[in-house]
Amino acid sequence: MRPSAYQVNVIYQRLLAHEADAPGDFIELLLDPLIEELRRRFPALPLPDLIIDVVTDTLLAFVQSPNSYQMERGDLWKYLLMDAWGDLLNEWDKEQRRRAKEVPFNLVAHDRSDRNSNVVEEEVMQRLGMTFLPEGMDTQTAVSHLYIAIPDPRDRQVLLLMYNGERRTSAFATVLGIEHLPIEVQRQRVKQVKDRLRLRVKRYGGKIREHQ
Amino acid sequence: MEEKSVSTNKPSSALARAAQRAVSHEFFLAGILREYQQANQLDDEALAKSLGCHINDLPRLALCRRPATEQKVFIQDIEHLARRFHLHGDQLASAIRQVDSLRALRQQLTSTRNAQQMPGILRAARDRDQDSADSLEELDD
Repeated sequence: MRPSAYQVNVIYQRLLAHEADAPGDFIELLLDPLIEELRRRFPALPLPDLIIDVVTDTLLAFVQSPNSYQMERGDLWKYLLMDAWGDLLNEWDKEQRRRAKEVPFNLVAHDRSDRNSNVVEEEVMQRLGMTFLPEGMDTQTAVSHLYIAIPDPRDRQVLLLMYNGERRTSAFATVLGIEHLPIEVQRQRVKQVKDRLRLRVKRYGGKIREHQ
Repeated sequence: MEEKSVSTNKPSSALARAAQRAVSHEFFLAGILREYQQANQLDDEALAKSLGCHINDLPRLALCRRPATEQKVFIQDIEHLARRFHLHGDQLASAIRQVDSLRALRQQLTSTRNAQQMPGILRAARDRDQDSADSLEELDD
């Protein structure tokens, strides 16, 4: 459970006073709640330990230089959450690049090769308008976020088709690479993928209005 | 200073993991405790017994800042940790001193070994330079 701002501040003041046991107390107070919060935001992250390690490293670094936080910049909890969030996106980005090297070439072609070619992702983000995103998050960060929520590039293509109101099974079948299958099987597979994505988007607070 | 209550509740698995991860940071006591355990072949239970604290508090102790090197502050930090975790301060101080001595000794040995290897490395470098110079001369010819 998220600790109160008062609890956090009391230990933060002890950190500033260089009390020897303050780092441990600070980490113990915030570690599990921050992990819980990030897990809640990224329930489908395929590497659950990544969140633990990222939050741990964020806190280990913070207690060594508590002056990096300035109170006027806002709540310390949010500061740490955003710090861990940013690191998580970076780590996930690295993991994605590592995975991209392992998947066949035609899949990589769908995925981004650099940070300037996120056309599909940016459009999905615009239409998705995920309500869980913190205020002021820039498009690039939001797109990175989408990579965590929906890691498969084919899923992102399907999502965009859904947002564009595409109804033809053949269009989805092409993206999914299942055109060679019987039409009934194609319909079934497409429905499964769409249902799964609707559920995932819903979990993140988004909504698909396919018929507009 | 107000004495805090002893916290002997079991640490979360994430906290225990954080204590392990802190080993690589000089800032924390974790590295000191790990080296002390290795040097004296102590498992967690034996370490806790040696320090006089509860085994559940070991991860918390590991995540504390290592006491300052300056003597006066060092003593204050040790006393602070001793009060907090109800441990033997003298034993914790002794463990830190022992690990610091081992590290200093290791550093000294490394420096000595490097110094001993240096003439050989320099000789090899000189030989290579000479070979290169010879090759250039051959090319000029």
